[in-house]
Amino acid sequence: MLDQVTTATRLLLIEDDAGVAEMYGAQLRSSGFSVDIAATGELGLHMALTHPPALIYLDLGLPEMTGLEVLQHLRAQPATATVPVVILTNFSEPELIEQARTLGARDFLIKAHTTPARLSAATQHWLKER
Amino acid sequence: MSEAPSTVSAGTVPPSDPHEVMMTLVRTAAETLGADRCTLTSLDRHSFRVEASYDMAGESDITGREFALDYLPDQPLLRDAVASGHITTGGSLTAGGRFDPTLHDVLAPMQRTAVVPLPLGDTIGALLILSRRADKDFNESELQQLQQFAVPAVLALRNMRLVEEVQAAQRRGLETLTMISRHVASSDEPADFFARMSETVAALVNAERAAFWRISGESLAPQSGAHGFSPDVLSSARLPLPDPSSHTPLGQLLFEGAAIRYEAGHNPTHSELPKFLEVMRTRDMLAVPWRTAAGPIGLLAAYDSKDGFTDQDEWIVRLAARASALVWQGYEAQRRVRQLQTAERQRLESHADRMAQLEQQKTEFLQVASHELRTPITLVVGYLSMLEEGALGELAEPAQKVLPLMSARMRQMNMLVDRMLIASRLEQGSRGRGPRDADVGAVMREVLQALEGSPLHAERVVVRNQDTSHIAANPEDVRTVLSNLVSNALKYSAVDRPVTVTVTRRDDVVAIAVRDEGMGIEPAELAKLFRPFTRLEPARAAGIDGTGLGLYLARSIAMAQGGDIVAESTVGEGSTFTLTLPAPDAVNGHA
Repeated sequence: MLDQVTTATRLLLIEDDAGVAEMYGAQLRSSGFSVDIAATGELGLHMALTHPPALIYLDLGLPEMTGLEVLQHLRAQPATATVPVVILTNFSEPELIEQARTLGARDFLIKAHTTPARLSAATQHWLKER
Repeated sequence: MSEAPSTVSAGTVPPSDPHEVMMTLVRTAAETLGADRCTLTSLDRHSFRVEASYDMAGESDITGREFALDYLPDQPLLRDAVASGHITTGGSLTAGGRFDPTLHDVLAPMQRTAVVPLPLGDTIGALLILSRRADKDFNESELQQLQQFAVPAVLALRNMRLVEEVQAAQRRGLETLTMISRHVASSDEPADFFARMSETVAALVNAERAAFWRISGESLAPQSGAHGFSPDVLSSARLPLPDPSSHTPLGQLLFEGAAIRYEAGHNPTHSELPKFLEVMRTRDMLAVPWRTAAGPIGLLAAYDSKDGFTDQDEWIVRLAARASALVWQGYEAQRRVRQLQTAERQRLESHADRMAQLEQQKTEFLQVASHELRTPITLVVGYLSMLEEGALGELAEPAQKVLPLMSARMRQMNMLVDRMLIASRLEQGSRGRGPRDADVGAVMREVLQALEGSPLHAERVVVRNQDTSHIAANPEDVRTVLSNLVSNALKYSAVDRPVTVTVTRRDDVVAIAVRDEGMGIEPAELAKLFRPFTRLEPARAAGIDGTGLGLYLARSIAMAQGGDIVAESTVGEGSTFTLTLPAPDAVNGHA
């Protein structure tokens, strides 16, 4: 694999807080990624199916369908089952971490402890690992 | 010759010992009247008892013995004396008619007999018998003198009976009290006691039935367990409570302490009683007050006596009622205490529930608030970092200068929120769930990785992993605590001094010791380190300047995992903070 990922790499960010989504989105775009933002779980699933991303950042506290339910659905569809998912949330309950890991999430990040720059660096890391 | 009776009567008036008196009487009679024997007997239709006997020759003392007398009609001397009520004389008792064969030798030598019948109550209840060996009649003067002995003899016999009655009454009284004490001890409930007591009262006065009636509201109702009554009779029986000023027999019983004696057909004025008694076909009844010093509780009644209720019976039932009132007072006191205890317990329970509820609300609030705070923090920290990195363009000098300040304070805020979340989770007890196996090596790597690039120079951490690599604890928790201890150690020692982390296993416990070569901590301060977070906590424990939780929380986390943190320090040399956690069972013990 190349050290630098191509500028066409698509990321999907499923996050209902517009301000936070915009902040992370801006940084990721300026790092050269293409970023799709979905404010609900349903929308996120739809986007993942129609335009499969290379990596999905998933919030847990979503309106209506929860983040964990979205994760289950992603895993259930062959088209999306292999896309790495990283949980990006402000919940830190150990039970949730455990559940997310069991459902196949690659990692668990706390937004309050993750600056946009750190998210960008982490993205590079996972895409390399993939 | 008239002193003899007066000597005797002077001796009988105060009833010292009736038996002694009677013995003196018969001896005096025999001696005074020149007889060989004098005997005083009490008498009924079937037998007689020798109360006192004196024999000149000192032979055959039959005092105290009882003999059959069913042959009275065949014994003319005695028969005539009893029938006429006058002194009767005759020859030998054995010669005159039938007599108890066992007395033959005693009676045979006596050739002359005089019998004085003694009235006790309405009938002849005793005989004074004088006899002589010599065949010499009793003359008129002797008979008159003999008659003089009748009165003192009767008195002595009456006294004897009185003494016997008193003794019997005392015995019955003591037995009753003993029974009461036994009933109290063996009764689990007041109802049990009164049931047993009713039975005892009936037995004491030879009655078929007995019941305690208690005042309840405006009427008197029988206590359950009344002896000899069927439950359905008891459940419907009620007596209206009379007005205290009324002078009906029931009113007098309850408020003036009078007893009631009822006989079917004899008491037309007891208007409130007959209905119940008629329904029950009660022949007779004895009722006494059942009361305490404070007032009436009700009444105690015995029904259907064997031979009629006597004054003695009334006395014993009153005694039983008084003692039962004391017992009842005891039960009432117990009941009040139990009520108070129940009320108190309920008050405490509802207080405890309220406290638990408040505690829960507080914890939930803490949890929700701290989680919610993370949203604005995310945004501010995120953009601040971007500003510092220059990703949002160049800032004027003054603006640039304040950025690090803002970042530091946001880090502080972030940390406070973390602590609040941890604290709320500890309270909820949700820590301790999740995985229970941690790889120490992996955890340490994570800790050091997170500290990479920080101004603390994490490269001076040396890890000595002595003989174990696993702990039976939640990896996140272990990481949180170790992170705290290691960053504290780095912070409070010079950049050229190492921080040593040693992992050892002692029996069931894994110990991770974090040692620094800093300034050390005063013993007084050391004790304060683990206090819960207040504004007064020392700087190292608070970790205010940015590297972790309070030591109080770190220790709470360790304890929730079944472990602990201890601190040792030498001023001028350094400190060691040791985290202990349970070792996994057998198999996984070694690296």
